[in-house]
Amino acid sequence: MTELSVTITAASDGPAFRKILYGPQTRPTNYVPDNFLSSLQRNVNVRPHTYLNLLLNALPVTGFIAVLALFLALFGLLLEGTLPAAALVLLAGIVFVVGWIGYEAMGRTSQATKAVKSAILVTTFLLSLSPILRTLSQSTSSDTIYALATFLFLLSLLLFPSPYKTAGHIATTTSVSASLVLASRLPGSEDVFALLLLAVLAFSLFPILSERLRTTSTGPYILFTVLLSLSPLYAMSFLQLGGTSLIPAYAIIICAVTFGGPAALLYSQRFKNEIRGPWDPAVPLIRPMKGGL
Amino acid sequence: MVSDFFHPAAGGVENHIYELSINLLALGHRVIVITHAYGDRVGVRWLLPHLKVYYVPLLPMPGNQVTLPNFFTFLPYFRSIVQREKVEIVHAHGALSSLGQEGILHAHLMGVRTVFTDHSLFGFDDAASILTNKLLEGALRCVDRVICVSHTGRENTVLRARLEPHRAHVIPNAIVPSDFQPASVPPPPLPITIVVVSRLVYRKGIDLLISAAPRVCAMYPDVRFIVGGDGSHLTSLEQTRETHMLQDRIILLGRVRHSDVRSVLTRGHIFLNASLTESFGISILEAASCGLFIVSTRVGGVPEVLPKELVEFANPDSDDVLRALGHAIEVVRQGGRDPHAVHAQVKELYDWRRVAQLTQDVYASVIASEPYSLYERLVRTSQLGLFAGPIYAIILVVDCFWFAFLQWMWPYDEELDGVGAVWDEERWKELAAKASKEEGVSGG
Repeated sequence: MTELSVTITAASDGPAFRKILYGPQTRPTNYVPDNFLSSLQRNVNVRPHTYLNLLLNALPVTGFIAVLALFLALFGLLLEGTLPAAALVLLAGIVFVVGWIGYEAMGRTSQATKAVKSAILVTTFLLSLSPILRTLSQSTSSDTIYALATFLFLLSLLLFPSPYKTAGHIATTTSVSASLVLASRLPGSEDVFALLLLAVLAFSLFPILSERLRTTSTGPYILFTVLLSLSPLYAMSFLQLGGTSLIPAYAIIICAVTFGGPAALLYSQRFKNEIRGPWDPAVPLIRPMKGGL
Repeated sequence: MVSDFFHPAAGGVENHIYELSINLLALGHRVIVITHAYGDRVGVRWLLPHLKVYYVPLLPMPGNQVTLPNFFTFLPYFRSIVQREKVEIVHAHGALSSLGQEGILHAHLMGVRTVFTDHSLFGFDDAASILTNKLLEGALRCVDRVICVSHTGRENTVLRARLEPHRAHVIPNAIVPSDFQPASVPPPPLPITIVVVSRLVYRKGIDLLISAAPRVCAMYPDVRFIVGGDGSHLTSLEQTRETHMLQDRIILLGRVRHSDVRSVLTRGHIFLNASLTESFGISILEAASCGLFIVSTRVGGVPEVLPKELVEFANPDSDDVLRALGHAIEVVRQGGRDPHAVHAQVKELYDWRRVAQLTQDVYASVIASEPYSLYERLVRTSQLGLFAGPIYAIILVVDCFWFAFLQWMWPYDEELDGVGAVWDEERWKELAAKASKEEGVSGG
């Protein structure tokens, strides 16, 4: 019966207490044995996080926020007329080619013709549709447009770092739709085309590139993310309206996400109290049938 | 006795309350049961032998049998019942029964003491457990005594509700041995029959059964299974049976009523309980009482229930279940096991009368102890936690005002409302004897 009683403690009076319900009970029913809760285990499955590890895992979020901020800053520049649409299209073209070459260098998918084909297709598609897209939600008031865009961007921010593939797709969809709504505030069709081209780059192609970079080489990925998170600052400095207040706000957010978030998680580890014991539902171990049956 | 779980619903808690109540009645106590309305079953009903049941007109949530925890609507009914019946102790059953928890919260207003019996085990790591554990902790903050059905259950309840360990008692369940007697004609020695009677759901470890059954059938050509029960895993069990062409060796009975369980058990030699979590495991006790050899997973309070010679334990692992079943088959093949001797042994170990006596001792210790004052209650309640503390403290205070309002609105009138006539066992016997004598006279 040793396997049933957890440990047989020698009690000072009477026979040793055993964790059984049958047989003669000499103890009162509320007797607290010495080994009460001895089979309780705390934090057995807990793997402590290290700050460095958490920092690395927070970088995708930092990257996404940086891209979002860059996109919004460029939208502001387009809206103010500081940045000509042609320059933005050129910039997007360069970024696309560089990014594509980098992507190919990391994985060798060698589907050059297919990529070029789909790039041309998307570009012409956007080019032909941009006048329609510009007027699509033009009659809606700006209040609604900005509120809706904010909501959609926040939603994509919430869904983007998700490990679930579907949520990632939804994040892409919501951020592209947010850009679509924003586009209606722009003065010309060429501005709309430039912005939507940028949206496709930033929200649908960039996550793929960044994910591949993250999984292949850590060092360049960190450098890339740092540069990326600095770029919105440069873009914002050209803004005529509100640039001075946006820069500190962005800096605070990006620092909080990159360094504060992991630190908070690390701090909360000390409150971790995972309790395991014999009362937990067992996990059945189903082994495959051996051959010959 | 207060609980959401009672007749006409069927289950372990329902059965426990009924058996405990009638055995307390037999010890000379007055027992009433309070539960919620079941369909049009509202009001006062009597159950045999003379158990008074109040069906309070509160509707349960659809899908399960539990009333919505709203803390206040139960009080008007509860106050009337407690005052009219002159209740001294409220005994709530079942961690998920909000009616029971509310009974505990209201009882102190009428100066009534509280006991709570926990029947189940809960984990700590999922959202539902976290919520129900907090609700339980809130309800049990000022309870006088807690009864658990096994030592493991007690450790679990003490942790979940953060109780002082000495307030928790261990009083096991029991069975009615006469309802679970071995077959007068023992089942034929061949084929060796393995019986499973349980709900066919994940928690009962049916996946282990599904994995082990075809392998047992392949290894031992003279073994068959009888499976009683219904549930989500019935389909996969049927599929397994079909895949391995075992239609004649795995017999599926579907849903078995509790009163028919014995007739299923007595058809077999071995009882398999593959459950993944079990506070007590009344089913293995029933099967052992019918003289079957038990194979059970080593989970929860199960290892505490029966002496080693009656059970073969297995880890929740399909290979180990297979090994344990193999061992059990060997034991049965060797023969020499007398089901009636096993029955006598189990009968000796578990008896509702003993459960009732131990419960009575708990009641006595509750009555003898000093109750919490309202101030102590308030302090203890506000220590519940950052959020739960203030919420429960507000509930406690509002409850007091609500009670005061009820007292003012519908004052209790002992002469008018008090229950004057109670069941008198002696008088009943006297009358019954007289009536049968008269009948004998007129008949003769």
